[in-house]
Amino acid sequence: MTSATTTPLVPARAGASLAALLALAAAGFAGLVERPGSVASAVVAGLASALAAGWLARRLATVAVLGGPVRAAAAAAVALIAAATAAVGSGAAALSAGDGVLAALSSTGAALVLGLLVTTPAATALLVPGARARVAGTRPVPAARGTTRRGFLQAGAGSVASAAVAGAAARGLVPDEAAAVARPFRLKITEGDITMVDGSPVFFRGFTTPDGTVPQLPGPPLGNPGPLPANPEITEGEPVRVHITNDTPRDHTFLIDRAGDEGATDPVVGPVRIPANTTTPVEISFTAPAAGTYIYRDADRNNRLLGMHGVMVVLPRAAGQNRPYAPGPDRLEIPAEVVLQFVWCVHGVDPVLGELARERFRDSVIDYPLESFLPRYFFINGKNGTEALHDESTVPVLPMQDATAAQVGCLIRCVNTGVATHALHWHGNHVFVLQRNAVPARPGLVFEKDVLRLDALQRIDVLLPAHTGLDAWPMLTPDHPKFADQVFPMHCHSEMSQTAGGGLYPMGMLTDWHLAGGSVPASGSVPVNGSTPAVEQVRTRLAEQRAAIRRSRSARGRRMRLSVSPSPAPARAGRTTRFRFRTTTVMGGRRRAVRGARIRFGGRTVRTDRTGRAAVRVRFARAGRVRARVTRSGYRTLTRIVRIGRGR
Amino acid sequence: MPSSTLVLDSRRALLAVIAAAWAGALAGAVLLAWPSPGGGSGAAPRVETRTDAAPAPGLGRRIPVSFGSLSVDSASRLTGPRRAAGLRLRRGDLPLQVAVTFVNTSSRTVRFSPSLFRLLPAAGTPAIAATGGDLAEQRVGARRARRFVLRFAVPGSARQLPDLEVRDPAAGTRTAVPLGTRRALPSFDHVGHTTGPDGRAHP
Repeated sequence: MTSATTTPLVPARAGASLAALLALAAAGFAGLVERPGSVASAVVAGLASALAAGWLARRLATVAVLGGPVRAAAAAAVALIAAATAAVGSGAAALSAGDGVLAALSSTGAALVLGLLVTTPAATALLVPGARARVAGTRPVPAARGTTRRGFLQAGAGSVASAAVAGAAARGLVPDEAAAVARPFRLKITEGDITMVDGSPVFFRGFTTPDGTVPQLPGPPLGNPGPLPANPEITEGEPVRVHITNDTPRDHTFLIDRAGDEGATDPVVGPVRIPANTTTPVEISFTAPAAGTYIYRDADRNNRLLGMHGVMVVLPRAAGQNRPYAPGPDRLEIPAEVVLQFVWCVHGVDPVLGELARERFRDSVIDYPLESFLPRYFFINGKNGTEALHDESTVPVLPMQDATAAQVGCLIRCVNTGVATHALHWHGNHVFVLQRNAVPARPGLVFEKDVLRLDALQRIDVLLPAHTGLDAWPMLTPDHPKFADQVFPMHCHSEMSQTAGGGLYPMGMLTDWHLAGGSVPASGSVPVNGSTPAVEQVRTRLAEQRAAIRRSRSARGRRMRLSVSPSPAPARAGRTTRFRFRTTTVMGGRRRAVRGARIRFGGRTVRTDRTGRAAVRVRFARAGRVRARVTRSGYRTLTRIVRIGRGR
Repeated sequence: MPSSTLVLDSRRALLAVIAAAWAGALAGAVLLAWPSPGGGSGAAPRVETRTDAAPAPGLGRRIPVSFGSLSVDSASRLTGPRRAAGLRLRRGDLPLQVAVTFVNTSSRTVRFSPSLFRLLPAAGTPAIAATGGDLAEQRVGARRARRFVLRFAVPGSARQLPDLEVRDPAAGTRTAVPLGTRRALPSFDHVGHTTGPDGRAHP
């Protein structure tokens, strides 16, 4: 490094163009490897990062070196800039697509190193052996002029297009039809314990929301399952995007199939492999199939039984969406829209399978033959027993059918994600089968069903008329005391499914449905969601009952955890020992200190500080077991046994 | 030299740039060869954790045992006709019912015995054995789950309930499960099968 010659290495525009081109290649390569995000956000991110790339490239072009490995350094710098541009675009696009900061950082890092894999060899190949770089002394080029406004614009504009395309390429590649959807559905594969109705913990694998920690049973819906308009709707023929992350240490698959078979016989999607420990979402794009009800699931049966399933609801494109399918000459005619739509996803759980999955947590597939599967818990939408009788996702509350109303009742999409055949039986009325496995019933005869057989993986959409059975006796007139709120049960006729934990009745697969009388519209259509005053009255009462159940459960208090560490350890009889305590609890998925807990130990009482810690010095005369008791308002009392060893 | 010109005036800087680029390329190659999220971009390695990481013993918590797991699902105060509870209750005794679930993931049959469970009252007081409920030895088949009910007559009026000690039949390890306080104890009418204040099932 002794030479004092200062020479620009690469002409400004050439450097800028090269950087932009390499950025394009890097982003394209990274995009081929990972494809999350959306085109719109990618273009914005691409424009922003392209400006930076142009400016940096312009600066690069005027790099002056003082000897040394000049061309290799220049090539490396070009490669770094190009890869960084693509990476920044990728990260920004991930952020704007709502992937979260961690996912965006992960995406940026991955795009950077993947980009460098392309740009470093390419830039070295182009710059080092070539004659473009003017080596000091051979052919002096004009002295670096610095960054002028014109040069900046030229370099910037030249690279804007490339980098914008690069950013887009990194995030979504071609702006296909599927990418036009504004927001993807986001799922996370996770695992964890869910407490059953009898208090027993059962281990599940399943899907949840991106911020969820334990599986949802069933997984978050794709589309809007009703009755609450909580989710974006999916209409047949529309592009759909699903982003899936995998929080578990094993690979899984994602499958949506039209047929009701175990295997993928007529798939809408997949099976798509979802790699283990995926923090960057795997994007799955597809066109919504025909209107109807579908199951998304892991393609492996045991994983589905462990909870890896959910429901996708596709609405018809034309003639009002509150129908199971669009009218057609080859389809059963439905004269009017339905008042409400529900999904009843029925499922059976075997805790032994869950325990095996816990033990073999790295195994994507659990060896557990079908004949071994013995369900002990039975769910409707993840609820059973008393829970399902009050849950708004399982209990239809319908306004009594008015003869002049345009609506015809409630559409219930019955889905069996388990392996046992179920037989759903409605009291109060019969149902009409409208659709099986997303295939509309044919015109002509339609059968009233008192008991609906529902095989494994079958989806049957039925219409529950919003009036009492036509043969009900005595007739329910407005003068009848039960007219205002007629409650009817729905339960499975398979007897074992009415129990939980091997015999707890009636804690199984059952729920209610309500017919609310009162003031019904004299004419015209029923309000959205069937919200007549009488219906709202019933719903309010159910909500109060739900709240009462929650209150009575929380009255038992949150659990605390206590750790004790005697000092000097181990604690010995006959000598004074300082016992340190720490009380914690789990709130919002995190372990937090419990302040102000009262700890009674060795005849002394102390309170924990804001870090949940407390200490007490005690001398025990005899060896044995000593009890430490922790109490705090709102928490369950906790007792720990501390052993005192023999003194020496 | 114009002030806007970058100057790499040391060999160290040049080498750093080269090293950074090639190290990144190498990392990219590794990432590509070892695809993870989304086919290769989930670069953030994650410590594998299991959700069952040693929870403190308690009601509804899993206790790992040699044959799989068991859980003490509920503890409840028995109400209703006392004689029908099958317990010899002295005045002041608390009729306590505990439900436990065995999950046998092993390929052999496991034998349930009420002697695996006992209540540990305060120091110096003898342990309390179950005197009602499922007192006969029973089998839990290979890869089966089964629930058992044990009934205890708990003397005294201490607010704090004794811990339930659970013994692993094969390993011999003992786990003390705190049952909470008398006040928080839900009730269960074993004749009418009506449950306690929390609405859950307490067999």
